[in-house]
Amino acid sequence: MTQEISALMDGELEPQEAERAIRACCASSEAADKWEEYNLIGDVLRGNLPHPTRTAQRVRDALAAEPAIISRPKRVYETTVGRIALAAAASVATVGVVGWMGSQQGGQSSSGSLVAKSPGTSNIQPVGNVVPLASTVDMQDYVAAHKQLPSAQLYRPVVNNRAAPAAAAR
Amino acid sequence: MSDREIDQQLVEKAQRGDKKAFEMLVVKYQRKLERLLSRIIRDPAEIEDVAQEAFIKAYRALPNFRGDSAFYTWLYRIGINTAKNYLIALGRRAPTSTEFDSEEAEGFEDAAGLRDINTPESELATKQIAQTVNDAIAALPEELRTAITLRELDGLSYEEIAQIMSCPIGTVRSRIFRAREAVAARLRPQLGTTKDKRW
Repeated sequence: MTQEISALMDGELEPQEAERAIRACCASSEAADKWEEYNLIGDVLRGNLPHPTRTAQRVRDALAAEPAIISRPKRVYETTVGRIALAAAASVATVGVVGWMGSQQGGQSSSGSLVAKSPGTSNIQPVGNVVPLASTVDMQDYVAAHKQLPSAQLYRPVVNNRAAPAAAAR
Repeated sequence: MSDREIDQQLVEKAQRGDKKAFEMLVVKYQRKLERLLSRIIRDPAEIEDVAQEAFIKAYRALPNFRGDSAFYTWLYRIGINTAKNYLIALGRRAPTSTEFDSEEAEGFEDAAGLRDINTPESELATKQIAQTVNDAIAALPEELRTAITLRELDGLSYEEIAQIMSCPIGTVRSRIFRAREAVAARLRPQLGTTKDKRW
């Protein structure tokens, strides 16, 4: 295992090997000592003159009094990349739904009814083909029954305004 | 796995409640952090206090660490802020933020031009440790010495060292390990001999 700890220091292990080596260092004081010795050697070789320090021991003592952290690690892909992926998926879904709705409407218009055609085309189907909603008895009853709703008041003039030029055109 | 990924793995283990994993990070970065703090605080005892506080702050903040930056970059910022707050609390002048740009954290190497934080009483022991390591390296067979030097001083990967030394990567790994073991064997009698202090 000591050779794995040496390679762990150098970041030269596969993830599973690294996990094993880390587990060993966490479980065995001998392995932890190796980790400490190898780090010290590295620091000295890099010209980082060591000094006797109690920091690690003091932190160990302080950690003993700390409650253990129980939290799910947040990975980068769960945050930045995850958010981007989610936004992309939402965009694709929106485009898909809008596209699907368009194709559905396109299919209906090809059978000749709901979508108004451009003024430039000669075979204009007059608005007369579209029955004004508020002019039907059922709709009048419906609106009357829902007069307490502000939307009912709003619907009536809109429909009437559209129906008036249509009637005048006739 | 890269060095940063190893750190991330240790962080995640600590985030799942394994304090030993965090201790490994403390062991790895304590000297580097202390050397950094020595740029702000002069007294070695105060440096230890602030380093300990910075590590504990980092531990408490671990649930918020997402790995967007390297662990040491994050620790560096905590260390600098802890040191500044420490000085302010004592009524001393804290360095301005521009004096310690967090962008230099990744590349912060602590050897050159930094204040020696050894006390006179520990200076001899420090020199002995450094001398032992240097002597042990000098006594290594050439292929072990070259391998560990290329790794520790030049920061080369095993693959790069293998190309330079014209040998398989497994051989590089073995040589570096044997070099470390040889140095550690000569170093061991000197370690832990200074009261309760560790190196």
